[in-house]
Amino acid sequence: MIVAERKPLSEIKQYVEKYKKILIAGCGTCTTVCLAGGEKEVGVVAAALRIAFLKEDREVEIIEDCITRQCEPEFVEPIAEKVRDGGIEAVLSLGCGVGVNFLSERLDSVLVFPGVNTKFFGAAVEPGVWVEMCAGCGNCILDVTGGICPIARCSKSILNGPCGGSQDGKCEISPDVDCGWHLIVSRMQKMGTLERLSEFVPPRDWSTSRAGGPRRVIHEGMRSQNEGSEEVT
Amino acid sequence: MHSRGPRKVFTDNGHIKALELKRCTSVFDSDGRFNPQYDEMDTATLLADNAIIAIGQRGDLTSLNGSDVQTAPGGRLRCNPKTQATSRQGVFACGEVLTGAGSAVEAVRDGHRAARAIVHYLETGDLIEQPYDDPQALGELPDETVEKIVKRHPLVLDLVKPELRIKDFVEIERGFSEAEALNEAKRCLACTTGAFADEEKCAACLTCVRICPFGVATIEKTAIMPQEKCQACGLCATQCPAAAIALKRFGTTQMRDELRSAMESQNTELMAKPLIVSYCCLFEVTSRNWVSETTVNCLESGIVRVMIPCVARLGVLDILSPFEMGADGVVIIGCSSGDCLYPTAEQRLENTVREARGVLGEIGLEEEVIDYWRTEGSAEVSWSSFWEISRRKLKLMKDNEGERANDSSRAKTTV
Repeated sequence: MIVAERKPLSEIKQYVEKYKKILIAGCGTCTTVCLAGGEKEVGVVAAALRIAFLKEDREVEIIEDCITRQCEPEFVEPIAEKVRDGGIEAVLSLGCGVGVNFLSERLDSVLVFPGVNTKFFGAAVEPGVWVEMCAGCGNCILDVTGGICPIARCSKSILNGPCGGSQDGKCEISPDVDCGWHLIVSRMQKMGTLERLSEFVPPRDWSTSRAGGPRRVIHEGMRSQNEGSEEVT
Repeated sequence: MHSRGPRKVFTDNGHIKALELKRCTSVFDSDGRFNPQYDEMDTATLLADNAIIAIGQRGDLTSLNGSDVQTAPGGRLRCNPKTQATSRQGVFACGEVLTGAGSAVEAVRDGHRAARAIVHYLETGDLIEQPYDDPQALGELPDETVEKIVKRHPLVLDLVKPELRIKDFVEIERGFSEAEALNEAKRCLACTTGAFADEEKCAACLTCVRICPFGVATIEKTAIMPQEKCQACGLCATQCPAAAIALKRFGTTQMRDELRSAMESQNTELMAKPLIVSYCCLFEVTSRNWVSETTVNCLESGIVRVMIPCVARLGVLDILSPFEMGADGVVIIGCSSGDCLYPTAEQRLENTVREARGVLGEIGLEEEVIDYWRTEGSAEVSWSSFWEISRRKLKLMKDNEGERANDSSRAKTTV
């Protein structure tokens, strides 16, 4: 899941304070689950802004909405239409960065501001605590590393760790951070697969990750059903 | 007079003088129906100057004499129980003339059935057979849920001692005082009033599963709170980030609706300032009169009160909403420390209050405008003093704010 955290309200207020009619758009998927941008949080942010503007004796209309996902055209289009037709001057998206991008692309003349900081792909290790577990590098090597990702979970993303900064299973950057490579070695020892780490692996091709520029995934089966789809070269 | 039934009323010049009573020999017949039998020879007389007729176990069918509506033994009408039609076309029966002695609930049910039968008859000219629905039984309350429910034992009332009770007709069981009755009501398991999730909105985020103090909530694609287990504490509804969970008798917007109606019922312009919204735990009140008396004082005190069953149902938005409506402060009064019916609820509320204060802080407001008090003794004993302390604090804050505003405008003028 994409994990996000609501931005400080003082920062959010600065984005939107010059507008008279604002839409706060929540997302019913990832940011709802990580308690950063669901329908309830939309209400809280809206109330906070209304109170702040009330104290300054300013009249600002704040509209609230929350859609299933901000990363699908079918869900986003109705809200984009509402913005265009409703004379809304600015949108505050509580979806992840994808939602802000996706909404912006559909709104030529209305600014879309981020209401959350999008953090990482992670898991809830305990109620209310999420930890990064995947870096979305585009070429998964978890088969080699015992199911634990060195790119996401090693502070240096090194592929031949652990480095000298590994102390008692913790990373030198913080005693709260596990050493990813310590986790990998311990797990592989336990599973009896440690030998795999001594196999020769050629240098990694990072072009599947951010180094290759913005990426896209095409599912041909789905795509062929949509006649007139744009050809990708 | 035990084991006696009325036989004759003696009057003198139109005034009641006495009641003749006959001895009851049996109450129920062999089918278990209420069918009292009397020994007409064994009589007793009770002198009285007034008689209140408060008996009646069967219908008075005398008005049907001479009609073609046929009667049946036991003060009943000859009826088809499936159609509730009597022997005369177009006449239907319900209540005890249909079933014999029964409960009021059953009579109401049959009244509804008769109404439907009559409508159908008037529209089509036909009778309609309405099968009796088998009521759906709730499942068992499992032991693991029972263990988590705070045990509250029933209040046992002392009966009047036998040597005293034989001397008069005073009730031997005094009944509950209002405070005791309200306290007894807290023992209710709140069956079928629990939480349910809107499948369209539920993101299966597991928040409800993680916070349910009774271990009731589960996820099967979306959240499910089995009715036989849910204790209706409302914590899941409060915390659900998708606003997908409501209680059967407490919808997702009910708190705000009640706040709005409480605010709208007052002329807030005329009310004393600081204007305070006070969310109060309904379980701590021991007298309804006290609630209405303090409501009257709203204008003078500046306190708009919203009574809720457990203030842990308050979410961050509920605490912020009064400020949107122009309130200067929010005073939350929960139950006595450690006295909440719902485990973890106090802790949850503390977290919610902290979060709401944090939100105010982030937009540059004083966090102290939100107070959270715990009832001491009862509402009647402690709430007024909590309101007064909070009111004075908020007044001081408001006065200081006013002075600062004056200072800065003076400074500007000087410049």
